[in-house]
Amino acid sequence: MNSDQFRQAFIEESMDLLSSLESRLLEMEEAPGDREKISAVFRIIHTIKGSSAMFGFNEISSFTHHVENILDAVREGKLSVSRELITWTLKSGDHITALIEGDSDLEEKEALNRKSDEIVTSFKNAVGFKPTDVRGAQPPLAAEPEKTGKDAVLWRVRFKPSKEIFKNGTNPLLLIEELCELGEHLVIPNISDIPNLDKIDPELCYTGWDIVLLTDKAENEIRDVFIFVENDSELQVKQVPQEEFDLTDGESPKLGEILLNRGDINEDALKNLLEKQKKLGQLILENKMASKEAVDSALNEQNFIKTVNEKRSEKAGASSLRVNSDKLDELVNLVGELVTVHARIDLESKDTSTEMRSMVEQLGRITESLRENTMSMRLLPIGTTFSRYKRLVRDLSNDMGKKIELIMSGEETEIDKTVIEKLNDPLVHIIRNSIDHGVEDPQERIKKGKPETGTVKLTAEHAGASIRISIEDDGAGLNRQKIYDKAVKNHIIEAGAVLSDEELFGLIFQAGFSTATKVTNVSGRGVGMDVVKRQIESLNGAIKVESREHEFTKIILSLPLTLAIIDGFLVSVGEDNYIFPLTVVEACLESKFKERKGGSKKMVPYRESLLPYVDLREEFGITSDRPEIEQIVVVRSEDKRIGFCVDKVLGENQTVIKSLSGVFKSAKGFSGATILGDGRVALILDTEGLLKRSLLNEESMANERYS
Amino acid sequence: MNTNVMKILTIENAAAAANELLKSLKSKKDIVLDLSMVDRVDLSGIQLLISVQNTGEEQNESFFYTGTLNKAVFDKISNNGFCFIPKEEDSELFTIRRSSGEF
Repeated sequence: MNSDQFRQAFIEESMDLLSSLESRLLEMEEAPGDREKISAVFRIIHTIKGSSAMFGFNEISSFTHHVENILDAVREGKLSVSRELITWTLKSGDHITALIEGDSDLEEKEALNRKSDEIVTSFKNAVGFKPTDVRGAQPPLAAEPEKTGKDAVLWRVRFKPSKEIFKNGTNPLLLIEELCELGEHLVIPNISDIPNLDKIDPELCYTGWDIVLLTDKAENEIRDVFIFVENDSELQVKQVPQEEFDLTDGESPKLGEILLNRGDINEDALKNLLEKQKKLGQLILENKMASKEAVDSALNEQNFIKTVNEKRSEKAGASSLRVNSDKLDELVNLVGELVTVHARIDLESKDTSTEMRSMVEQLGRITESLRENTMSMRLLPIGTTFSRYKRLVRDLSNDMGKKIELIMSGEETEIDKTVIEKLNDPLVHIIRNSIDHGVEDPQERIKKGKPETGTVKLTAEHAGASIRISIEDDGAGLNRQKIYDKAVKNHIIEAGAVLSDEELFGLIFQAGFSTATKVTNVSGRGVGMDVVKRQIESLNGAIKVESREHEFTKIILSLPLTLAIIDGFLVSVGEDNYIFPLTVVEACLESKFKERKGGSKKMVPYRESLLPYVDLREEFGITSDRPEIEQIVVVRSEDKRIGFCVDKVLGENQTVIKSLSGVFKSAKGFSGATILGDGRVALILDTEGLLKRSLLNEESMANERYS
Repeated sequence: MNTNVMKILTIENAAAAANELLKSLKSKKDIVLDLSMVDRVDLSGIQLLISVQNTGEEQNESFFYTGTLNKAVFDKISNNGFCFIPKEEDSELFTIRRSSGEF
């Protein structure tokens, strides 16, 4: 959904709310003592205020804020439900409708704003509302109530402008207001420096602020607010540590911790005080450890965090909806069809009217947003799978008399739900192997000078278009000689063959391959690692092993983020089209065959070095004529760069991945296929696979030459 | 009788306002300043309101503000962390304090 569509959704929702406001108000008039009816009216205005602030309708949000204050006073019993109150609330409802429907004409806007002021003043006078009727007279917390998303972080901002700040024309209040626009906030001014009237110089600034800000913006964006005054002012921007902030429902952070983290008090002095077990705030003041302002400010932050956490837990309960995963799969399929149909319409409408083109472009934008939204619905944090393994490690290590700690990181890394589901079995196998064959028993570990408790580290991280999951134990490591001997014995390799670590360790994925001398009920039967490899490959993933004897074994899984739709990079070679995953593409270079020819190695200059490349025309045996100028697509593959020489670059493409049938299983270098707008099929290139395939081809050609 | 505070409380006329307010404080023991006429305020003006209140509370027998605040003035003061505390329930008299927590 783009911002216009969000705004439209807001308008529709507000219109619904305003129509129910009328009927609720009339019911309220009939039963003025019914508190539930008063609350219902208050909730409607409160909702409109919150969502209008969120969608940037500041005039509506500001106007409804005043109406809400009056209705809150009614809820509190400070004002009664009178005829005037109903009349003015109805008028306010009409005015909100006018504000929503008002167009962007500046004059009309100004007229509406003037009318907002008139209505607020008349409303307040008619019902006898006083500023002191505002509950707790707190600044409005709900300025951006919807920004309590899970990525929001809490910041402490301390801003003390230079005394001379007025003299260069800066208005600090505007900075505070700009800062508050970044998220939910609590503003606490520090005014202890303001002198008495006979000593005050009105041209000097005596005020500072502590602002607690809940926002998903980065520190730089917060600092940017103060960019022109930072040099002359005192500015501190500190993130509130997550553990201090993420408290369970209803719990608030400790006052001492807040003051300590702000640097307002010192830790030892705090400990001494805590031993006395008196009220901390009073003790801090009595002992003059911090000013009353600092303590007050910290108390406010404590309350703010409590409120935010309560709101969060309320929201978490209210804003999620369980959907059958089959429905989600069906939705993804339909979106895939839509993407394909759009590509077709796009192609067919190339030579049609401008109006038609503009409609097709709009359809394209909507399709892309729908695709992104749908795909994000399928992403789940991998932590949901990781947490199952705590129990596995605990039970297995107890059974085997080993002491093992499972350390997890990157649990928040998101991956397609289909991948997560299929990942469970392979991970269980690998972790079992680590516990059984990897980590030694405590006596042996002590003998080796290792800590008695072994560790298994489970890590997930994003790496380009893939996710990398590693399982590392600090156990015995792989024994090169044992693997080699076993491979020779099983006729997997010839005796005397020279293998790199990667090739040798790769042998453990062969069927029936186990070097364990003891078969346990956990592992050692040679069944497992080959299955693990097959399962990972069925997910278009890759697996590799790193190990050092007596030190560690690390199994690294690389998996695609999604198995459904990706952003592709369309190229052509001869008559056929191919797709690279866009996330691996780094650059494109023009290249002439004549200029490349000559050297025996396939290398082209790139960024002051030489880039190896694979010529896809040669690789796929395409014999048609080469274009004069070809393109080298530079991709990142794991930690290296490699070029792929193609005829033409056709551009970005929303690629719906269709898997290849078993017939093409032996065709290495392709991860799937997609249907283009003209109905033709384009193969999706697996750059790693292509590279391996190309190296194998070269080797066999070399062998042929020598034989 | 209440004393009206000037219409504009910004840095441009804050010095004049300060003088006038100082005179008001010296004129009586019980001070009530009416803010309903004020229709523009900036930080310099808010500082002045706090300062006059602090001084009034120290030097006079009683000191309070009163009046229905203009929306822009109300927003400016409350959005920057200040609040209006009534003398007692249902009172039209109030003071301006920074938002504060409780022990």
